[in-house]
Amino acid sequence: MSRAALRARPESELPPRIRRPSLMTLVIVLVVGGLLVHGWTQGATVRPDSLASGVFRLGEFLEDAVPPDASRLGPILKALLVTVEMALLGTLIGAVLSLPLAVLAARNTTPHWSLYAVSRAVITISRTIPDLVWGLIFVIAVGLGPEAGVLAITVDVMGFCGRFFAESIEDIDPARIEGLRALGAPRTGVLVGGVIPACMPSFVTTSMFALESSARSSVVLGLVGAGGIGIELATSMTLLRYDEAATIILAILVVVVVFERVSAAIRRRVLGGGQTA
Amino acid sequence: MAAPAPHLTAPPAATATAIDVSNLSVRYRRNGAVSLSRVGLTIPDGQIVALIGTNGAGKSTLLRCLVRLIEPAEGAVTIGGTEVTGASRRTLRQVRQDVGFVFQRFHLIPRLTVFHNVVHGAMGRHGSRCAWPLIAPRHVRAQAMEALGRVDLASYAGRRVETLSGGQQQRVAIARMLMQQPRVILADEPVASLDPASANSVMDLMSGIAAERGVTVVVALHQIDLALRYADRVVALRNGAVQFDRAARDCDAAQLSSIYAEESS
Repeated sequence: MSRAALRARPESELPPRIRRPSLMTLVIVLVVGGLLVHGWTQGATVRPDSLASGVFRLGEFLEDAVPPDASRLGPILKALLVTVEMALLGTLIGAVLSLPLAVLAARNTTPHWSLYAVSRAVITISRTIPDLVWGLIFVIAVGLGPEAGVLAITVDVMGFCGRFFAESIEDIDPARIEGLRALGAPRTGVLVGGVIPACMPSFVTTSMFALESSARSSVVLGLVGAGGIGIELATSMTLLRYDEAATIILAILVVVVVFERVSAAIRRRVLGGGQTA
Repeated sequence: MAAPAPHLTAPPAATATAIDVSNLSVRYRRNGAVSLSRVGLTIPDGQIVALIGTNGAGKSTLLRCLVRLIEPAEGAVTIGGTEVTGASRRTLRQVRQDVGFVFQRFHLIPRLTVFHNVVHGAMGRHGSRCAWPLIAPRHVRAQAMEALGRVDLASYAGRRVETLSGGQQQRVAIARMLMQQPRVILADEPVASLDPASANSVMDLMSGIAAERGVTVVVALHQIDLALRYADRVVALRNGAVQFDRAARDCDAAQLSSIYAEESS
């Protein structure tokens, strides 16, 4: 068909260039648009004058913070060690507890729909309440200190890992399970021998992401009294000892970067593990 | 074109019955369409039966139904005198312990080693202890090495399964099946994804094991030549029903090929 004939074809015979949006799409666009306009003009507005003065005050902060004061390096490192331990312990306990939770919360491995519903509810609650709020709750429950921080991180990791572990189990190739069921293997055998090894790369990478997140959370949790370096940082900032705060911030930066590097290296190793042929 | 009338001739004289299937029907859960329709078969001990038929004829469904990996809608299956349909979960597990199932896509755990996958074969008899070789009984570990030796893969024990060729993976699956010490072998197109040399090697291996141990074998195949070479009896399925069932010596390649030709015409 010639180009002229193609051009002569009426537009009404062709599929529309843009599909007419559904009512739901229009409502979502209007609500989100309304919130953005309201936020910019009334609520969470960013005014140019406050931004300019803020930059000036930031300069003052930097002037006071440099050079960092390392005179309290000992106590800072001790608090940092507590923070690292909080992150490691909380992540480990959370990831281990996530495993049975995920088995119950995956459609293809749950023994009963009621257990599925309960485990999904536990995961949802753990995920939707922010770690800082969990920190406040556990400070009330067990008092100030790293114990509250470990518990807060554990629950947060359970929500994160529980969900992604369960999704990974649901995504498993059904052939793996069928192959073991056909052997007459018991349910636990299928789980331990088939499902968990098949999902292990996903479990490890998810746990490593959780560890990175926990390293950051453990710092912030200190601000609400859940132990670690956070409380040191809050004290230095409150007493306007910005040079000491700078030392703490640099130490936190080093620790978080180390966590991310180690986590990334482990993920690479696990994901590339099968390419040995 | 109307479906040809079934040509039924008596299968070879039987001894004890290994598998008895009567009026077996399966419907797809999603749309209720019939996948198997009133299939009846009696397979004596030690016989090798080839199931042939086009894709969707019901071969895989029939094999899976025999050990209730697919639940039948109606009918009855008995294996080694134990009723499979209606069996409790415990009884079903016991039946499955005695039935080796070889799948087209191997159904191994690719990340695990060859040895680990083979040890899994003992899970039916020894339970979850055999989920990991670390805690598996010593005699099971020794038996796994024997099974690997039988399929000529003893030197591959420490390799990850995913690093092996398709033919080697199928031999690992056979070694895993040997761990069950099965009385019946069900094989669902075990050579469909293999090259001809690997296919012959796998079929030689399975028929050798069947001959050594007097095991009953039901194997779904598309390769007419393999069906005629290895099977005692050929059962053709068409649209979920038995189209014909006769001794392999009474069949010829042209006759069996017509099953596929009729479907494509």
